[in-house]
Amino acid sequence: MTSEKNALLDIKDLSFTYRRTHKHALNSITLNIEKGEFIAILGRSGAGKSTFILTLNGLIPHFIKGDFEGSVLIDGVSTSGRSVAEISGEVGIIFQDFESQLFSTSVELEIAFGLENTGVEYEEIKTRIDKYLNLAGLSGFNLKEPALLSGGQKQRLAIAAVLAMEPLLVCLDEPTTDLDPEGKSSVFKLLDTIRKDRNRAIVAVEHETDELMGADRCIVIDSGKIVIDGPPEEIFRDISKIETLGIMPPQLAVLAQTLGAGNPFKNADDAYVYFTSNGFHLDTLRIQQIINEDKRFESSNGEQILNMEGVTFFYENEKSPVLDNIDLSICRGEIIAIAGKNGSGKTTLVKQINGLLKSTSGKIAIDGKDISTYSHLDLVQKAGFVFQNPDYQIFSETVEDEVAFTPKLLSLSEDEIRKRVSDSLQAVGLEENRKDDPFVLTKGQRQRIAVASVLAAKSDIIILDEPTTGLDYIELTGMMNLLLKLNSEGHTIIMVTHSMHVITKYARRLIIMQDGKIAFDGKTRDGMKNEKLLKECHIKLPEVVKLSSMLGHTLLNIDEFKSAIIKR
Amino acid sequence: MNYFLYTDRDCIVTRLDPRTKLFILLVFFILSLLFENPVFNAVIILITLSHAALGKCLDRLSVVWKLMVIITLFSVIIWTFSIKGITPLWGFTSVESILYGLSAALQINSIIVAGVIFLSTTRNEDIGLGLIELGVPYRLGFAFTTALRLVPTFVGTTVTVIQAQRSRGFDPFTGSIVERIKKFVPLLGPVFLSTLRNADTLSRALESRGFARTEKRTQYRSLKAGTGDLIANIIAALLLAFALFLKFEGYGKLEGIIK
Repeated sequence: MTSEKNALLDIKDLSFTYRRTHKHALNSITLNIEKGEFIAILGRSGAGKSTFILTLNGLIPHFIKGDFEGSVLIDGVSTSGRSVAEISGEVGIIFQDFESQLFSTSVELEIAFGLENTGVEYEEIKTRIDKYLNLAGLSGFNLKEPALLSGGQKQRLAIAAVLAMEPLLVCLDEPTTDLDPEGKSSVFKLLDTIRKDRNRAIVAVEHETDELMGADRCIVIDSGKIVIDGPPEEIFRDISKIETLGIMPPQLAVLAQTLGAGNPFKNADDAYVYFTSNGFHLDTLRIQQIINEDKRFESSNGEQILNMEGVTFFYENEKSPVLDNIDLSICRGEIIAIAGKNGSGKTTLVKQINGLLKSTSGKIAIDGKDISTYSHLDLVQKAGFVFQNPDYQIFSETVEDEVAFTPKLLSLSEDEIRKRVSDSLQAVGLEENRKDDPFVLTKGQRQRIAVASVLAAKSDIIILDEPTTGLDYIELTGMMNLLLKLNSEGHTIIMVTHSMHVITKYARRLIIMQDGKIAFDGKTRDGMKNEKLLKECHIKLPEVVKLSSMLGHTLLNIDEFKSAIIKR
Repeated sequence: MNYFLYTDRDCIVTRLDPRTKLFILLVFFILSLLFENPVFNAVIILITLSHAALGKCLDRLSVVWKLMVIITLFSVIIWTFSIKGITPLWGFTSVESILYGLSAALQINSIIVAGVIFLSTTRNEDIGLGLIELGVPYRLGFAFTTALRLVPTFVGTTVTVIQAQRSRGFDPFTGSIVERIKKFVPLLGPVFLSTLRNADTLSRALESRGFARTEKRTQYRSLKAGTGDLIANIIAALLLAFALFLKFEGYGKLEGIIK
């Protein structure tokens, strides 16, 4: 390394242990980051990624206390002697939770806040507001209330507010995790734009590996240590190693490995050229088999369990309906994904099923009986709901109390309660944690507690709102396998999700919502053929699906694709 | 859902300087507490309501009208039983005690209305700015407006937590009042935890954007008091002076209360 000049960021032997814990959250990290680099940080939940980000602007050790060793130098100056506010001019941080990091009542005041704090004069603040709103694609939004923006716009505003302070280093902690596909792609687009300024470096913690192929370096952190540091085409060559570290491998990397292509493909076009010019084909017999499996699965569904007729829903004081004349029929044993833009009515739709929201007009029946004829407790046993954020519902001191909550409300016998708690905890793989305080468990485990609570009520229909948000690859796979198992035992599963991975790998039936209406309802495979609608709903086709359609077929995921490859 | 009271509407009241609005709020508070006579208090609440109409925020009262009805009922009931007057009605109630309860209800309600007008017509930053211009330290002013800002977030979280519990068969809206209150207690756990978590992210975001870094903080928004403010202040001051005059001349009392 040519180091007559200081590296932008110079970290030496950095270790950190949170107060009242014994394990190193970060363990002797040494790292240099140069100007102009775009670095992706990867790793499983709890690996230390967020902790690492927090050390970069001094929030650790100044704001969050603990045992701090080693040094973090920014442009040659240590963070330890300076306050977070002082460092804020050089290092900016954007957090995952875009709701809580915006606090102003207008877009321009949000941008102005940091500049006011650093004593920038009025005229300059004005110039920068225009410049950075323009960069973030928010020109003309100056006087809008941040609360009224979409998720993607909010996160871009948070990024613009940090960029306006013109820091040397921009850090992002899972900036796209809570966003819908449209928001995600708009944030990635913005990141691409800011990379062009070569005086700055970007460090981003990200789960969307498919989007990271353009990064300069990928750094994988595990148990507080840097275990891999290299360009993406290099690190995604060893798929099995990536998977054991809790990271979802990019589909095109898996494909490249299967085809023996050396470096991962950059995009579907790239893969297409390699695939066709090296004598690979898709086996039409195998594809016919896959399509037959679809049909077989469809005919194996049981009798109708849920029926909606003409369901319309208005929020109080609002003129346009959130749900507009919905007709929907669902059979026992189905596994369904509901997709669509934020605000298209997905969550509102599923909240009708268990009576959380009451339709303005229309009929909803479960097992042939109108849901208004069920008592509240009966309805809970028919349809259970797992909220996106398990922390909204967990309040007991132990895991088993939490799971026993609904059975107790149902006034079941002691023995029955004990049995249901054991069965449910076993189903979600948390028997060993039954005496633990839910608060100390990981997000993935808390999500499982929420599912166990619904299982304990023996709900026929299990509704999940964004069940995989914020889970790492291992947790995600665990959660989805759990749902598949429950499905095979007869539960009907309805998931509201943005994840194309979840939709294409696990859902047999896909419903796409658009402006309060059902825009598509059918086999997931057929849904993937409806490119116009998918585009309108900002649902991005996975690269493997794109590749398969270039080859004249519709294969949903890498497993299907791999099984159909033949070489002539 | 948006639980913020403030909406960006252009009108005479919204355009006023926050310091003027703070003064008007103070005048309404004093007026509301000055008189015992329900007729006087009815006039005062009418003045506050017409101020609300002027500020185009009558619709914002929809958030609090239930509360206002409950306060009126409670106030009338409690005062009817706890105060005695000279004109018996039936049983141990009296005309004066009912009037007194009504008057107290009007007082509290006009304070609420004045508060809602203030919050619906003043940008959160402007409240802070006004306080700072009036000599309140920056950090304190900021803390105050941040607390105001967190209220709607808190309400939103509570709604979600109640839904989450309802979907598990728990229904906090059934049973007697005591039972309902008892049921609400466990809900506070997740509500507070989520709110604390949000507040934690907020404070990290504030620090990361250089909160209170130097004493020499610049202001992008500046306050400009104009002729409108002068007129509004004079009207409010005259109103207050007139009311004080009436009070000291002995008007606005409620006769016939046995103390």
